[in-house]
Formats: sequence, structure tokens, C-alpha cells
Amino acid sequence: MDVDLIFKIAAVGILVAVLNILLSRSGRDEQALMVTLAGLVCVLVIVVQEISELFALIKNLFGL
Amino acid sequence: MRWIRFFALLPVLFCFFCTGAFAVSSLEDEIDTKGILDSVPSEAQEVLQDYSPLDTESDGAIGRLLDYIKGKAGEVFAQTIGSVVKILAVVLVCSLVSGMNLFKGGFDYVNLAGCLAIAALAISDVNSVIRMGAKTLEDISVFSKALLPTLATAATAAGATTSAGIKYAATSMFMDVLISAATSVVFPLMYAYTACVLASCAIGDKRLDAAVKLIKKVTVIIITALVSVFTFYLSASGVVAASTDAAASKLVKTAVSALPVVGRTISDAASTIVSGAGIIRSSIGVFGLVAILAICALPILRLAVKYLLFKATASIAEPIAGERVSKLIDGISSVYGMVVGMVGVGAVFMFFSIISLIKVVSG
Amino acid sequence: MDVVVKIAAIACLAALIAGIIKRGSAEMSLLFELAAVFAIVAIAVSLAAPIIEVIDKAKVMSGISQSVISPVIKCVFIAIIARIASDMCKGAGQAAMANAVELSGAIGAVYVALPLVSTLLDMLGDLL
Repeated sequence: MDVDLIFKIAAVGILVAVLNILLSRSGRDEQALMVTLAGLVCVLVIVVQEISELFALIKNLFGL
Repeated sequence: MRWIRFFALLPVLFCFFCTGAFAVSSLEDEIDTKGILDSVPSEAQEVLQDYSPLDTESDGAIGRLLDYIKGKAGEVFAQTIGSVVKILAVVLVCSLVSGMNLFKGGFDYVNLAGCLAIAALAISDVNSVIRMGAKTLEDISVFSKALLPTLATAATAAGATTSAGIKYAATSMFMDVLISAATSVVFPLMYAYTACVLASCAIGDKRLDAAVKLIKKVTVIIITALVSVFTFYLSASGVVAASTDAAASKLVKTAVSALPVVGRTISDAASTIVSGAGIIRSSIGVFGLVAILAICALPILRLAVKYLLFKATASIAEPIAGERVSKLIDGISSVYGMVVGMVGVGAVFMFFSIISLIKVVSG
Repeated sequence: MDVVVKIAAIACLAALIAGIIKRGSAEMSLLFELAAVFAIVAIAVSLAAPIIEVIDKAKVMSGISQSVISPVIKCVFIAIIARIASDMCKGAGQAAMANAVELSGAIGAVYVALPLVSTLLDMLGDLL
């Protein structure tokens, strides 16, 4: 898992956060919710892949 | 390092008792030399070779004994180091999480796994140690059954008919009581102690801790009781004269108090007997002592090395893997210590029996 | 040593960013925290590779059997992972879930330690 990945996810997170604030301020709560969900799904897909790679690495390394 | 003291003092003690003339009386015909030598186990026979109960020169046998011990010491050490390293590997793994305080309110399962692993590694060792202790006590008993009747016969021939017979009967009875107490009570208690220590350290229950302490206390009390009764008998039967031999009694006290677990409690009893026992003048007595040393040397050496190394491992483990793992290793070393105590007591019993009979023979 | 400094820097930075994201979306902040935690663990594990070599060497030298030491190692990992997950749940305000994770960690560890118990029982059986 690179450090770059963290920054990408951070960027996505900040984007979603800002959009969330803007949209809820202007009263479009449902759209805010949808943006949040989209961001969540996006990040989740990346993160889960990385985590499963990590577990495979640990298993191989320790021979468990 | 009480162990080094005990081991170093034993030959010195022995030499102390051998000063003075070796009077060879007309007992030669009465003694079944071959029978006695055959009753000694094979490793001890290797050491004794053709040293017979009538030889006045014991130096050859003592020299062989010391060489034998020196030769075996390295091998014993290497064997024990192997098991210690395995245990340390488990301790290292447990130490990875022990600092992290992961189990604040819950069940520390890393500790459980660690204790189970150490138990799996050590249990066959503990079993072989207890078996070795039992066998050594049995060897001492077999030897005593061969030697003591001879001494009693010799005493009878020297004219002290009734008292010799009584003394022989009583001392052989005590040896039998000791052996049966050991095999039916003390050694099973050791197994129970091991199981309790494992359970208490794996699970961490306070009540199990109390059970562990109780079993250890009971074992020490039993051993002490046996020694006290024997001591009382010997003083009451008049074996112990009023003369005091301060140097010998001090030597015995220091040597015996070096025995782990039971040492302190029986050292006073031991020195009381010795202070009156005087110097052994007969060559048979010397032979008996050398034979006991030969029988006990290797087992006690093995046990001593194991006891010391496991205690050292426990103190290494404490800062890095936490309290309970180190308590388990410490408990295992206590079992070894208690077995040593039993074997030591057996040797001491035999020693005093010989003295009491020699006293009769030499008047 | 560099790795530890690197990890410390990443962790602090991630904590700050998570705080910022939290203002707009608490869920994203949690997900970001998860990603950061596993990134740090990945870096730490890559450092562990030479350590593993030494441990394997020690295993071979001491002759300890794999079936004795691997349950212990597995328990260590279960402990670490369960703790991380439970802390994350607590961070999200789900205390019940956190407790459930810890409980399943304990059960999983005992399950993993079962081969040890059966080895012990076998040995005891031989003795008796």
C-alpha cells in the first residue's frame, strides 16, 4: 500500500466533504447523501482490494 | 548459586569423614562383596569398577567419580539448553503483544496460547525428570537392601547382637517408608502441581494460584516430616553420642541447606545427627558413601542443571513476556527442585543409616 | 528507524486530514481512517521481512515444531486485528459492535489454540 494511495483517498475524502457541506447548505440534502454514498463506494473498492492484498502478504510472510 | 556449594561440599564432606585409620576387621568373610557391587546400577558400577567394600584406598574411585561428572556435565548442559531455547522462542512471540495492553477488560488469549505452547514443550521433560527421581530413589533402596544386611551381620559378628538387628530393621523400614511415600504421594503431587501451575498461569485465576501454593507447601511438609521422624529415631536410639564435632556439623549444615525447597528445614536436623556421629572408621562405610555418591551424582547433576537453567529462563521471561508466562516457567523449575529435594533426602537417609550401623560395628 | 519516522509522519498527517473530512462527512472520515491504519500496518510488515528470516532461523536451530509455535503467532495477529477493528467501531460510536468484534476475536483465538490443547492431551494420555 503506497503512501500515494493514502493521499488519493484523502483527496477523494476532502472532495466529498466539501461537496457535502456545500450541498447541505444550499438545502439539497438528498444530493449530498448521494455524493457521500458515491465517495464511500469508490474508496471502499480501493481500500478493500488493498487490505486483502495485505492479508495475503502477511499470511505468506509468516507462513500461517 | 547454592547448587555449586552443595555439589562442591559433598566430596569435601566425604573426605572429612575419611581421615583416620581404616581399620579392617575380621569381617572379610562375612561380606558378600560381589552381591553388594551387583546391587549398584550400571552407570555407578562403571565408576566404582573393582572398588570393593574392603579396599582401604578409596582415591581411585573418587577420582573416577569426579571425571565421570566432569565428562557428563557438558552433555547434560547441552540437552537442557535445547529445551530452554525453544521455550524462549515462545516467550519472544508472546512478548510482541504483552506490552500493548490489548486486553484491558477481557480474556488474554495470547497468554493462554503461550502457556499451552510452553506446557507442550516442557511436559515430556517434567515427566522424564520425575521418572528419573523415582528410579534414583529405587536404586538407593536396592543398594541399601544389599549393603545394610551386610553391615548388620558384621555388627552381630562384632558382638552387638540385638541392637544391630534392631537398627538395621528400623533403618530399612525408614527407607521403605520414604520410597513408598515418594512414589505414592510426593511424585503424584508433583504431577498435580504441574497441572495446577499450567491452569493457573494460562487462565490467571487467583484461586488456582492458591491451590498451587498449597500443593507446594504440602510437599515440603511431607518431606520435612519424614526427615524429622528419622532424625528423632536416630537420636532416641542412642546412635548420637554427646560429643560435638563442630566443624563436621557446620559442613553438613551448609551442604544440606543448599538443597532447594527443603534444604533449610532439614539442615538443622542433619547437623544434629552428624555432630554426634563421629568419624567413619570402617572401609565398608567409606565404600557405602562412595557408592551413594556414584548412584546419585548423574541424576542430581541433571536435575541441578535443569533447575538452574529454567529459573534463569523465568527471570529472563518476566520483563519481556509478562508475569504469568514467567510464573509457569518458574513453576516447572520448582518441580525440578522438589524432585532434587526428594532424591537428596533419600541419599541423606542412606548416609545416616550407614553411620548408625558403622557406629555399632566400630563400638 | 526511518520507517518509524515515516509512519509517525503519515499517522499525524492522516489524523489531521481525517479531522478535516469529518466536518463534511463523518463516514468518509472513518473510511479514510481505516485506509490509513492499513497503510501503516503494510509499511510495518514490510519492515518485518528480515525479522521473519531471523525468527525462521531460530526456529530451525532450536528445533521447535511448527505446530507448537504457529498457534501462538496466529493468536498474536488475531489480537492485533481484533483490537484495531474494535477501536474503529468505538470511534464510530458503535460500542456493541466493538464488543462483538472483541468477543469473536477471543473465540477465534481459542479455536486457533485448539491444536495445542489436543497435542497436550495426547502427551498427557501417553503419560497416563
